[in-house]
Amino acid sequence: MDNKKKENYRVLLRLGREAAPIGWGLALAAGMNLTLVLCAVAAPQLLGKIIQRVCDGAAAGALAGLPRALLPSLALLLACYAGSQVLSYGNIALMNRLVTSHFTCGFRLRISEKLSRLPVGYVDQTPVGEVLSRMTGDVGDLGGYLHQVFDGLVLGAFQLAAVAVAMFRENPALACFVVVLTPLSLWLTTQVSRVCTKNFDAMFDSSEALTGVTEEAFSNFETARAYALEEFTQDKHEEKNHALAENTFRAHFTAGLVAPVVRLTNAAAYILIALLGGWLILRGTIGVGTVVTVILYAQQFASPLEMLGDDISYLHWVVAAANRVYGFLDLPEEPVQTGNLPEQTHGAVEFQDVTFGYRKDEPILKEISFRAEPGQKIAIVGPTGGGKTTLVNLLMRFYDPDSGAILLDGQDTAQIDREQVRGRFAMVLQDTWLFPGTLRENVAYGNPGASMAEIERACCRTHCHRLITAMPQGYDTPIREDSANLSGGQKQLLTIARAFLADRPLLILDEATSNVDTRTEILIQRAMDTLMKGRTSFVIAHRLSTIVDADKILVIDQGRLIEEGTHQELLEKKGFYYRLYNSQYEEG
Amino acid sequence: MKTMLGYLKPYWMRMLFSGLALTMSGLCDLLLPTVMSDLLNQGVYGKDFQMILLGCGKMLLFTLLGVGCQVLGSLLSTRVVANYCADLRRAVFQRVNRMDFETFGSIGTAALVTRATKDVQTVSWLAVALSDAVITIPVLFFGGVGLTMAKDWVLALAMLAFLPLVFLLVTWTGKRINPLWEESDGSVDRQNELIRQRLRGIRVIRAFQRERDAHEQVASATRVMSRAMISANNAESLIAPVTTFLLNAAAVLVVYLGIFRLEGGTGLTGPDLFAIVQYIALTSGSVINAAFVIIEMPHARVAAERIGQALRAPIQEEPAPREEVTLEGSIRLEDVSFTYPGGAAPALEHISLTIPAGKKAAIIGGTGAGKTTLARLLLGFYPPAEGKIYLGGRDLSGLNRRTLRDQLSPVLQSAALYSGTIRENLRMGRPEALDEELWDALEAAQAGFVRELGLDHPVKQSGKNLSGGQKQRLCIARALLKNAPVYLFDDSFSALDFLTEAALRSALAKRLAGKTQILITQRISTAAHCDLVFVLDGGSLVGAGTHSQLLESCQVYREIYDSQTGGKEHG
Repeated sequence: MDNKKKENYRVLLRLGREAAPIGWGLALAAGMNLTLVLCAVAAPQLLGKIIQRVCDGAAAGALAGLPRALLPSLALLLACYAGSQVLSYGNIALMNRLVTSHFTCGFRLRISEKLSRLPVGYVDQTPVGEVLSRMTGDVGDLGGYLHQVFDGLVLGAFQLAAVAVAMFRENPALACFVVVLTPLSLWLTTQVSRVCTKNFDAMFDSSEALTGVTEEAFSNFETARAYALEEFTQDKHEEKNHALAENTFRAHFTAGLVAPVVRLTNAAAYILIALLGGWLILRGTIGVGTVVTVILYAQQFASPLEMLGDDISYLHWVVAAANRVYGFLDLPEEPVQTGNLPEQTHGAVEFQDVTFGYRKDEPILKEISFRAEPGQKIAIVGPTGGGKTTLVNLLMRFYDPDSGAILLDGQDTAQIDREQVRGRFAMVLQDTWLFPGTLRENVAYGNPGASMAEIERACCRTHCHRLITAMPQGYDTPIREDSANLSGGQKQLLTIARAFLADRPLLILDEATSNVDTRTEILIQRAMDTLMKGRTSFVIAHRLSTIVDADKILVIDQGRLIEEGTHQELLEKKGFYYRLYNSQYEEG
Repeated sequence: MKTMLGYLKPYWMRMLFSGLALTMSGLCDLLLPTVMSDLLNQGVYGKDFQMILLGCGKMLLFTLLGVGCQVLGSLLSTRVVANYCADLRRAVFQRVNRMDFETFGSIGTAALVTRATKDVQTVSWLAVALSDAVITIPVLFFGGVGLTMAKDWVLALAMLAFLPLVFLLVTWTGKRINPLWEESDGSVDRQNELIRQRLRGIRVIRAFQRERDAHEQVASATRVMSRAMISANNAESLIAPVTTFLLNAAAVLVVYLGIFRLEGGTGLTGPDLFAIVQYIALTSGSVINAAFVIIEMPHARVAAERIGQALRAPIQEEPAPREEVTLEGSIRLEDVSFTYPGGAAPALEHISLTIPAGKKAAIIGGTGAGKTTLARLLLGFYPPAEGKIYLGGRDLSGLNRRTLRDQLSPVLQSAALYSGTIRENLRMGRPEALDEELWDALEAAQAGFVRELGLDHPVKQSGKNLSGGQKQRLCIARALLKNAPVYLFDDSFSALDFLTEAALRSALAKRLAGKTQILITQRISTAAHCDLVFVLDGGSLVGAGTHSQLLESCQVYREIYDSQTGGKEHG
């Protein structure tokens, strides 16, 4: 508990240190706040004096000429009001600009930069939604509430101090009552807001649970119909729905208690002032104006206190959001190596006793050793989950082996700058990712400097030139969000063209299993053949027919390399590969 | 909007009481300055301490009454809002559950989830704010004006004059702000989309060393967003200071005019003047709140319209009551055509085919060939646009959907599981199934992995904690548990390797002997083992027969065969 407090304190300090570059702006904002408070404090005094003079005038029956006499005071009062609102707006606008550009925008940029340096493993394990909620939700909260907290606390402190001083100067006895009531009001509101925070947390949790159930039910729409699960999902929904309704009620009701509590203490102050003030007026010690002024002050004194409950919960939210954002920014990054590869790459790859697991205690690949000569076509086959894709992750240095080494032209890649290793490979993956840009930009993704002629040549060689020119804007056709204007097979062809244009000495091909119609399939096969020419290629095969001509077939099952050889050699061996191959054609 | 209000009907009594309580509370608030001015007038100027005490007592009473009413009112109104939201969410959910597939597809899952959750939240927020604002603001404002009127009508009119000014200002700002917020929300969406893309494409981005550009894209979107946010925020922040200033100016004007009235001898006193200034202060808070309600109104209206659209969406009508029958498992399609709503080309065109009861039929073809559409028509998700479908000799268009679904046990492409345990998910196939039966089905579905996990293993939302292959096998086991004359597998073996598929195939042959099996697939190896194969291409049936017949007669089938086997061996 205490540790947590310390932790929260450290987070606040860190936030504070990061505010240093905008210190001058914050100081200016604080200065505006101060002036604003002075204006606000001057107003009740002026109004009190005016009312006093009116009352005196009425008592003495000397009202004539009073409007004219009071005009300067009234004008001053109006100026005070105007000044405080102008300053108030100036302060908000300034803070808004400072916080949004320094914190909201700044943190988002840092998160985006951080993304570039995070290991692929982190991204694989983390739902996209989580990163987005760091970047959008948490940073947004941080910016929004930071502003509130700063304003609330700075303005509140100034106002409390200034009003207290002014009140005491006006009348110490009356001021005492107001000030004495303050701790009581404070204590009550913090009590309520503590319960409030707890209830709101519960409400957010059950709201999330309800969204989960709703999402599940709607995305399984067809299954629900096919298995007549309507009642089942409705019961599930109703359970969460009811919980949310209860928690919503509790949260909003407790939140609604803050106002009456504050109102009660305000009224107590009001009544006490009236009582004591009336008695003092009767004794002739003070005038009506003083009572008026103190009552107005009491209201001003109460308003920052009313906000204090909110400010405290905002502060909690700021700390919680900052904690999550810093947690993200402090994540371990991809280790950096500085070794260099020679300019010329021949493309010999060697695995030496490579063992790797995504979790240290569960190896996915166990002591894998093999050698690929420059220009060879290496096929990797085996059952799903056997470790084929993991091999690619290691080759590309998306992950690092737990033990053993991967050599490229005899050099251990673990010592070499990741970018350089990756720069020797081109990839065509099952998951055909295209970025939101034009077709031309996508084909040139791995070689941004390529000329139009080069791009077209690459597309011709990989059989997608015709497909592209058939599109309404040809090479300048933009790829829509989620690339809905392209079929799976067309996307596959584009990624092949992309790999071709990147022109790297080594190649990784992860074949698509499905989602491609027959004719496109044939085109893809031809395009891949073109692409592989003269490069060391690693092909993850799902259909054995495509790898019959491989120079070497690696059979991987349950993390071990169990067979190795050409198609013919492996068939003659009548082992695992033989069974796998025949299972495709056997009659059931 | 009207539909939304209709759901408030059951609560009108409580709302009335809550309104009364809040009105009382507002009045009590307003009475304080009045009592105060009486106290000053009679007690102070009358030099009567008794009157002062009495005044203070009155104020205490009003405060307690006011606070009590406020708590009671908020108790009632939060209860109403919480239940109202729950009602709306339930209504949307249940409507979607009975919605027809055309509507479901045209609105989309994500949008419907938003309607059933976030939109309700937005509307409820408005309901809270409105119920507060509609009741307390007029009470406070017009109560204040009324009380002023009792003291001096000229001053009351002066106060009223400021009202249109404030509302004019608010509506003007509101008009300016909404597009700014839309722009800002749009830029947030764009940034999210960029990040989403970047995370999805991380391997390609890293492989081609484009991290710097990916970051630059996000960075420029972020800068645009921050500019949009600043201008939207700045515009919105204008409301509170300007409104406050206007009300302050009203107070100054009232004081100035008041002095003239005092001079004129209308019976107005100095303390009265102070009371009026207090009324203005009391109303200003509620006026600012009202301003924000007005500005947020369009948001809530959009949300309310979206919910209304979901609630009014057409539902599937049943042509006949449910029957407790088991039909014979034969299927016949007669010249069936179907086009998706909004689809340019028909998904299926003039399909006629017959699958005799107890046979194993494959439907093969590439993406977009119409295989899944065929399954959807069989399951009664959509009615065919033309032609007729018969199951066990009965026309589907005259059959209750529940009766139809009792005849079919499908494994759908999406491999959908629900949060809960493995046992719960399996029992959806047969609610009364014993554990042994579950194990038998799992065994047949090659789901041996459940042995390690146990039947009570938790399944997370949509089965996120299981791999694609595991989900597929659990769905197969669930389908096997359901006892039906026809079993339908829509691309259900795609995540299984060849060896597992072969084992599954022989287990199915044993378990489903005598049942009709329909296998929708892209794999020749699957089709080759079926009694009958139907080849779809571009929505048309281009071949029907056995594997060897089709190799001879069907060009498309040959092409698929060649591409998958390298054309090396035949049969």
